[in-house]
Amino acid sequence: MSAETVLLQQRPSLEYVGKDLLREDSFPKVRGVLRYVDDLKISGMLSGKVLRSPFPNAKIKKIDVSDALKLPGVITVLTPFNVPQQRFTRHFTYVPWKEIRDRRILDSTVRFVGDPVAAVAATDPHIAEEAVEKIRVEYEELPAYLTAEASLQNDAIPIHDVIEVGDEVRRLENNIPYVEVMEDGNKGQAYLESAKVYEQTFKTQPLFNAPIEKRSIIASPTPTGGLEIWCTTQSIHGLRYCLSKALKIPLNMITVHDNLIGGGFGLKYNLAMHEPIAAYLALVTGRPVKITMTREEDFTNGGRRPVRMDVKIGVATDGTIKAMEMNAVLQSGAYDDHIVGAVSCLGGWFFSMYRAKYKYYKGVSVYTNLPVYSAMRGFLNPQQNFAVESLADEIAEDLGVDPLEFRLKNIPRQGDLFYGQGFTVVTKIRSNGLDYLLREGARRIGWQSKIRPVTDGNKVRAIGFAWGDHSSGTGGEMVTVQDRIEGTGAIVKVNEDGSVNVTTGLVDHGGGTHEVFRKICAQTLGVRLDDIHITLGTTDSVPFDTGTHACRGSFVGGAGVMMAASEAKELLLKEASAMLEVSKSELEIKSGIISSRTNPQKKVTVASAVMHAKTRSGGGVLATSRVRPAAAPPNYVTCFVEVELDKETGRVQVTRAVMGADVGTVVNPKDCILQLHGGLAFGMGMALLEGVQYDNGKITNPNYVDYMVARALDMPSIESFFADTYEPTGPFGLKGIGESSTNPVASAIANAVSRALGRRIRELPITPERILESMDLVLASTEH
Amino acid sequence: MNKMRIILGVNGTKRSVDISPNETLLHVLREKLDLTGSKEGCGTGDCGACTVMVDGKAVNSCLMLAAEADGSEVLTIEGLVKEGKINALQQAFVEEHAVQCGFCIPGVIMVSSAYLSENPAPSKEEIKNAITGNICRCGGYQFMIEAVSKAGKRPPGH
Repeated sequence: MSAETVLLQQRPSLEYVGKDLLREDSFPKVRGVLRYVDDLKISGMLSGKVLRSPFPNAKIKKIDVSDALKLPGVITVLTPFNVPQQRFTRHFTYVPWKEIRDRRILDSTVRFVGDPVAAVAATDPHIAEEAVEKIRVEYEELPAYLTAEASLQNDAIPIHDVIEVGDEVRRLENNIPYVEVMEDGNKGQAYLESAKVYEQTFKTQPLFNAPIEKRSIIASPTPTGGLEIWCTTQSIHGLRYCLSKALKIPLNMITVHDNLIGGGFGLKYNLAMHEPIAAYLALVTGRPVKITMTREEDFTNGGRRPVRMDVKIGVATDGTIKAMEMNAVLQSGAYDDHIVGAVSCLGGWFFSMYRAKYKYYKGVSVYTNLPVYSAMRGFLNPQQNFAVESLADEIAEDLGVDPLEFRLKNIPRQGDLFYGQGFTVVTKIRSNGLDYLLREGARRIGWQSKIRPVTDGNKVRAIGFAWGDHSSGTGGEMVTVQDRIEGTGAIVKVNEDGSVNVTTGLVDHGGGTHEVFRKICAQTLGVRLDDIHITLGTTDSVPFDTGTHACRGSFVGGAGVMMAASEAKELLLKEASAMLEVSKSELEIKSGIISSRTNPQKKVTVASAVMHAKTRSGGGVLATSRVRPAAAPPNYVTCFVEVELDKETGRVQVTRAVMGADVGTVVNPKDCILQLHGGLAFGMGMALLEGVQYDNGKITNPNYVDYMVARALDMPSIESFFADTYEPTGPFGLKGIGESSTNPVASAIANAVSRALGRRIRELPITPERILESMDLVLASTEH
Repeated sequence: MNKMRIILGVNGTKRSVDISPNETLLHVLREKLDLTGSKEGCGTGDCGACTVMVDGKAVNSCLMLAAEADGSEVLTIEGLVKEGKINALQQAFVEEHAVQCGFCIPGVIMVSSAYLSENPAPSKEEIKNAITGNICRCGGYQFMIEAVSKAGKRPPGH
């Protein structure tokens, strides 16, 4: 093990942190009694249904809703001509001065196939559906731009002629809403020291997050003109902000409930276009309205944006990277969805990959007439990782260096700077187990420097690997303007029976973040884990929380819980000190008992201390926290895979995987392993299976048969391990894991396949057709 | 639209329901009987989240018309709980940490439950085959397989 890996053999064994204990939320889930949003019903509730555009770009000339309104049970029909026309943002990590506002509740121009045209509220979903079919629309088709390249042509007409950014109304002359350039270091010197310069282009495909739970929202009007909302969202405060802007209702009049969701993977980290529609329907009808997507509709709510990356790396004779440059074109959909964040983060991830004297990045985002691309697990990191880690292998092979040694020579080390969330979010690396992860992963899978593919009949087997990182949250050293919203808080309430409520507004989309909260609270307070219950709050009742994204749940949310629990502990100690006549500093709390360290006979229960507070000092024991971490430390994952390539069919099967992770302190071991399993499944999809396909702008595979995600039979045997590191800025030393777990996977598979094939694949996904095509090229080149 | 009345045994209780001929069993369970444990992930029989047992066989309730189930015994995830206690398979899912977001879990448990009644001591490879019709986008298949294996009657180590 490298000296750089922070070894914590002295780390005290903690009662809950680091132990596999049963998750509180698993019980209602296996019983089938946990209510997800679409399972909820409210008295008098109407069903909403959206009519969607069949054209990728068109003006709505006329809408006739008379037949729809005649249907018994139809309450109202919204069109662009009877809804307010303000533009608003759909982005949650909003920074008001950078937010792009290009969306209306309903717009008289539709810009992608599936863009909402009109909406019905009816007493029954079937009536709403029938009514939507009775709406007659006259369109005037406009030229459509269905790839970034088409949108970038000189004569392309802007898809949005006007957008609003900050206080400014901006007229667009082209289809480029945002460009960012980052540059660092001495270019001349770096290239002077480079013996060889490598340049390649890499392309990734559009993907869909595909959580099994489709998006759903219930909006219910309140007597005072506000709204109460239950929604499949990854951020209750982000949703509240966007709805407030969309509907011009003050923030304090909108209540959004924290609700457990059936997976999100970034898809539910935006304001979906039907959400302000549902809210406006509720306001107009004065009744609760539910809109639940069909699977087909859900495909238009977001996904992973395709990126074309021109990468240039200069290397010295000894294999040291000197210069790294990337020019990227990020294909956006028809409306802003994380456009600014995507461009910034792509550059930030790229800058953080390897040490180099000179780094340059330019990212250009381009509107197209396609459904929007949202956040998706990894948020631009898997794309750049595929480019950089593919090229790293190519360079090592060309130099005759072991790809593992090439990585070890150039990876970031402790003390280096990490720019994960973009150039302005800077974190000094304080914990870094990457060296260990690379060596240990290599050892476990049997990596050899001069690896040769193994051939067995028509099957070729080969090993490949890659490493990836992700930020833990979006904080950063407070020395620059960061342009990132980041903050959290929790309420810890200790009750007179010794039980504890931890109230949070942070959404657990399945990874077990709330279980981390329970452990942190139990461990900090000194009460039993079984005494801690997670209470889901609302935007009215809990401190602000940004939302579940950027591997921040445990790292940022956990810090909020720890801070509140520490304060609650102080309150308990104060009461106990008065009761026992022992100084506070002499007291400790274990398993719900507060006792003197020197005289254990002097003790009271937590329950009686709370009762003492209620009867003597005039209140209960409650603490509220608010915190913004001043760091977004990188968590690391290495992925080593063995693939088997069938030369006859072109099919690739991943036969073995070794996943290693540096997540600081491992709080929930099995949940962390599950993140690695899930990250692998996601990355396998990106590498081999998944891709959203369009025909004239219409998604042609919006279902689980034609859009293939990894199933049980696709999964290889998986071995997981962790580096023993401790992150000083994280609660109990922890860092994030949810996204790094997938970031290097597609790259590792691509590297293994390229090795098996003897030819580099630079475009995803690696379909059997691409393999066979590539093999023809290999054969052709060997025949010459 | 024509209405019809069907009689279903649902989790051991006879229920009489008025339905439309085109209504799915899933819709009846969720909207008319308030049994929302069965989920709709796709509506086209591709994800398995809506799986229930009809006369002991696992079916995608989003594809089955309620009318077809007339006179049948339907068992949903809610029906596995007896006297307030979860059964051994449900317990194994909790213990093996096979549950993440939980949305696919009712379907996976119902498929596994039906499979275990046919093959009480399956190998892990057999379980993998049995649950491959169920999508878990969280990707937690390995621990699910462990859970089903644990609940099966196979002695440990086999």
